[in-house]
Amino acid sequence: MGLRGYIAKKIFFALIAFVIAITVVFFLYHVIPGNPANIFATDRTVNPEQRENLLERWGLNEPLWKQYGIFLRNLLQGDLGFSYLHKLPVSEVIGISLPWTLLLLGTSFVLNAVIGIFLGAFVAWRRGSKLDTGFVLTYNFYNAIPLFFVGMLFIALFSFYSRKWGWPFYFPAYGAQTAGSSEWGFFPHLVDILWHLVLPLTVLTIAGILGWSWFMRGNLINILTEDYIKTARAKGLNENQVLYRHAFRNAILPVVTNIGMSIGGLIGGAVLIETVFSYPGTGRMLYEALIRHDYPLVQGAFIIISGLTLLGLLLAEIVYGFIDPRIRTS
Amino acid sequence: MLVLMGMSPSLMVMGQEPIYGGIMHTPLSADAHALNPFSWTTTYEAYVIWHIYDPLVRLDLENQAYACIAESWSHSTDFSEWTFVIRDDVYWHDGEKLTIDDVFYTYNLNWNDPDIPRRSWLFDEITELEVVDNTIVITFGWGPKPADVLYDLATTLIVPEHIWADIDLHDYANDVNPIGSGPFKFVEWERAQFFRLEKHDQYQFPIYIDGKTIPIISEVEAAFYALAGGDIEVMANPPPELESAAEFYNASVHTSLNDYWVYLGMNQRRYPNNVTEFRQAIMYGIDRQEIVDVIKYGRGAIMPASCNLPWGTYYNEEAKTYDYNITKTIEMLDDLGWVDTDEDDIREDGLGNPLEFDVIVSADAQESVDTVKFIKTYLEPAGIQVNVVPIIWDVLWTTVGGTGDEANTWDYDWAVLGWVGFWSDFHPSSFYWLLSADNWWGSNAVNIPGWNSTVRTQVTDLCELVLYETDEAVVADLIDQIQVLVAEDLPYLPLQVNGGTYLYKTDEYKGWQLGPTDGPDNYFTWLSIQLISPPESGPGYLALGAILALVITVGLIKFRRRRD
Repeated sequence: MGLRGYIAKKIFFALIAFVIAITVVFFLYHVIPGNPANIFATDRTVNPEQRENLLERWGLNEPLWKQYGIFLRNLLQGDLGFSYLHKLPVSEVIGISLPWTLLLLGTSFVLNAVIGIFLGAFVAWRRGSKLDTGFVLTYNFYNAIPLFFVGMLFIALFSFYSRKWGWPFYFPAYGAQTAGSSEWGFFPHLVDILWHLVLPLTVLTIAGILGWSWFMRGNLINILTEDYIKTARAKGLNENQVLYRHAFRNAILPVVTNIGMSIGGLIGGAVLIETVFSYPGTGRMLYEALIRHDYPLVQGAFIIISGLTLLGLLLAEIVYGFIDPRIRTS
Repeated sequence: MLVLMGMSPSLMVMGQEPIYGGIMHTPLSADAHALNPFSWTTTYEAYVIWHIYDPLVRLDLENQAYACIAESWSHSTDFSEWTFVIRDDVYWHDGEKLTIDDVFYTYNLNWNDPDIPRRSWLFDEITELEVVDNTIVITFGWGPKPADVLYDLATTLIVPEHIWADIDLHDYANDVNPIGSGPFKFVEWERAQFFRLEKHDQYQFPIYIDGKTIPIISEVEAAFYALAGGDIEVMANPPPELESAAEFYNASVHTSLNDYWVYLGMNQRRYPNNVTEFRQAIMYGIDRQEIVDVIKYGRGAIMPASCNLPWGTYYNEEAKTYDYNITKTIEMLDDLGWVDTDEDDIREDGLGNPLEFDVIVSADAQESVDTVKFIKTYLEPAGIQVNVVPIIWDVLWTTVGGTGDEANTWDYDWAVLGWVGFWSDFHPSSFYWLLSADNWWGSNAVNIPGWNSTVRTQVTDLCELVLYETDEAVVADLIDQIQVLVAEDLPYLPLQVNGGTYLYKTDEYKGWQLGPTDGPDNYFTWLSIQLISPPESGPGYLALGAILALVITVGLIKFRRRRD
C-alpha cells in the first residue's frame, strides 16, 4: 500500500471513530441521572408545571431516539445546538472562550513541545550527570506539588508580595485583561493581555516543559541502549550524528503521537489553572456546563474535542508515514 | 384608603463635601449567563441585574420597604387594594422618561403570563390592575399582608415598555445592551471575565462613584490577594485563616446572616421517623452550636426549632429550643423502650428494626456532608447508626420529591436540605410556604413528606388564618401558636442559618453601609460610597506598557545591530 492508500485508510477509520464518539457522547450524557429542569429546583417561584414547560421548550421531553435524530441532522448542518444556560448558540459560547484557551494553552503547548523535546534530549544525552540529576529532582519536586497550589503560590508572590515588598514589577491575580483595556488602543491592550498571561502561562509551561522533557528523556535513554546505536557508533559516526540522525528521530515518534493526541485536549482547557487564575477559557466553561447540565453545550464541546483529537491523531499518523517508512509499508 | 405609608429616601451622607469619581471593584465568583430580569437563575445574574434595574421599592438594611421608583404607597383597610405613586424624576438609561405606563406594562405582563420564572406568586391573586394619573392601583381578591406586597410583589423589577414590547421575554437574553432605570448603566460584558457599569447620571438619587467593575474571580484565595493588593474593594467569605489578617491589609470585617437555613429532613413516610418523640430525641442529640462553630467557622447561627429566625417581629421565645443534651436523647429513647437487645451497639425500634439511617446529602455541598458526619458522631453514643450518603444534587432533589415526579421518590431515610428565598421573620406568609398542606412547597409531597399528624392540620389552619388576617396583633398571636406547635412536633429539624463574612477595604473608599442581613456591597453602599481622597489620573498599566515597549524596541535595535 502506498502513502495515499495509507492516508485514505486512516481517514476512513478516523471517521468511523468520530461517529462512534459522538454517539457515545450523546447517549452517555442522556442516560446519567438528573434533569436540567432542576436548575430551577430550589426556586419556590417555579412550580412543576412551569418546569414542564421549560422541558418542552428545550425539547427535552421528546423520546431519546428522536432527540438523537434531531442531534445528527443539526450536526450535519453545522448546528451544534443552543445553550439554554447561556441562551446563545453553542458555537458562539465556545467561540467566546476558545481564543483565550488557545492563547494560553496554545502558547504553552508550543513552548512545552519545543523546549521540552530539546531539553529532554539534552539531559538524556548527559544521563547520570549533575544536570540530569538536577532535572530529575526538579521534575519530581514540581510534580509532587498540585498545580493549583503552585498557581496560588505564584499569585501570592508575584501579584501581592511583589507589590508589598516594592519589587519593580507585579502581575495580575486574575482575569485575561483589565476591564476597559480594549478602549486603550491596540498596543496597550495587547500588552495588558500579555501581562495577564504571564502567571498562568508560567505555571503551565514549567509543568509542561518538565513533562515533555521527562517523556523525551525516557524515550531517548531507551533508544540509546539499542543495538543499532552501537552499530552506528561502531561505524565511526560522531556523537552528534548518532544523536540526531539515529537516536533523536526514533525517540521523537511517540512524542509526535502525544502531540497529536494533545491537540484535542487544548480545547478542553486546563480547568485548574483557568480556575485559579480566573482565566476565561473553555475548561471553566465546560466544567460549569457539566455541573449545570447544559446538554447541548457539553455535547458541542465534546464533539469538537473528540473531532480535534481524532484529527490530531490522524495528522500524527500521517506524519508517521512520512518520517518512518516502516509504518506505511507494514 | 386609610393608611399612607409614603417614605422619603434618606441616604446616609457623610456630612462633608462629597468626592466624586473612582471605580468600585466588587467581584463575583462565577459569571452570569443572561441579564433577563424576568428569568434570571443564579445569584450572579441577579447581582448584576439589580444594578441595572429598579423595582418600585427596595428593602433597606433593616429589611424594611424603601421607596425607589415609587414615591409613596397606600392600601385599603383590608389590604385588598394597593396604590403606588411613582416619582416624576426617573429616567431610563437611554434617556427616555420612566412613566406609569412602564410600570403598568411590567405588572400587566407578569399578571398575564404565569410562565414567567421570576414572577411573584401574588400576581395570581390580582383581580384588577388600573392606572390613575401617575399611580397604579392593584386590587387583590383578598388582602395580602403589607410584608408580602412590599417585599414580594413590589420588588418586581420594572422594565421599559419601549424596549420589551416587541420581544419574547422568555427567549431574550438581554445581554447586549440592557436598558434599565437602576443606579448603574450597562457598559460592557466580557463573558467569564468582567462587567463594566457606569453611574446613571439621571438617577433619582446622587451617586458619587463613576462606576463599578465586576470582575469574575473564581478562586477565593486569588480574590483575597486581589483585595489585599488593592485590585478589588470587597469580597465575601474569605478563607478563615486569612480573615484574621484583614486589618493588616487595611480591610474591615463584616458578618451578616444569609437568607438560607439548613435542616435535617426526616422522611415521615417511614417508621420510626413519624414518631414525634423520636424526632425530638434526635434534635436533643445534635450539637448545633458546634456545627456552626466548627463547620461554618462561626459564620451563622443556630436555627430555632420553631422554623422562625430569632430576630424581628414574630419570633416566639416560648417555643421549645432543644439545647444539646445527649443524655436527654438516651433517656427519651429508653422511655420509648427502644434499647439494644442484640448487643451490637445499635438500638432497635418498636418493630425490632435497628436504628440505622442513611442520610442523603448533596455531594457538592461539603459543609452539608461534614454536618452529616458530625450528626453521625453525635448520635453514635445514643445507639443510633447514621450512614453518610453523598449524592448528586439532582438525584437528591428527585428523591425528596422536589421535582413532583413520584417515580423513585421518597426512597430515603433522612436528608440534609435548605430553605432559601425569604426572611421568615419579616414575612408572615412564609409559614404558609413552609408548613401548610395546601401549597406544593409545604405539602406532603416535598420537604416534609409524611407529616400527617393532627398538629399538621392545626398548623395548616393557622397558616390560612395568618394569610387572610388583617389585624397585626392577631397575626402575631397566630404565628406564636404556629411556632409552639412546630417546635414541639418538629416537621423539620432545623440545624443552622448560614452566615456570611465580608472583607471591605477602608483605605480608599468611605461610606460603606452595613446591615445585619447584608454584606457591605449593597444598594445603599452604591449610593453613599465615595473616595477618601480625589482620584489619581491615568492607569499604571499604560506606564508599564510603555516601559515594556521601550525595552522590547531597544532590544530589537541592539539585536539587529549585532547581527549586522
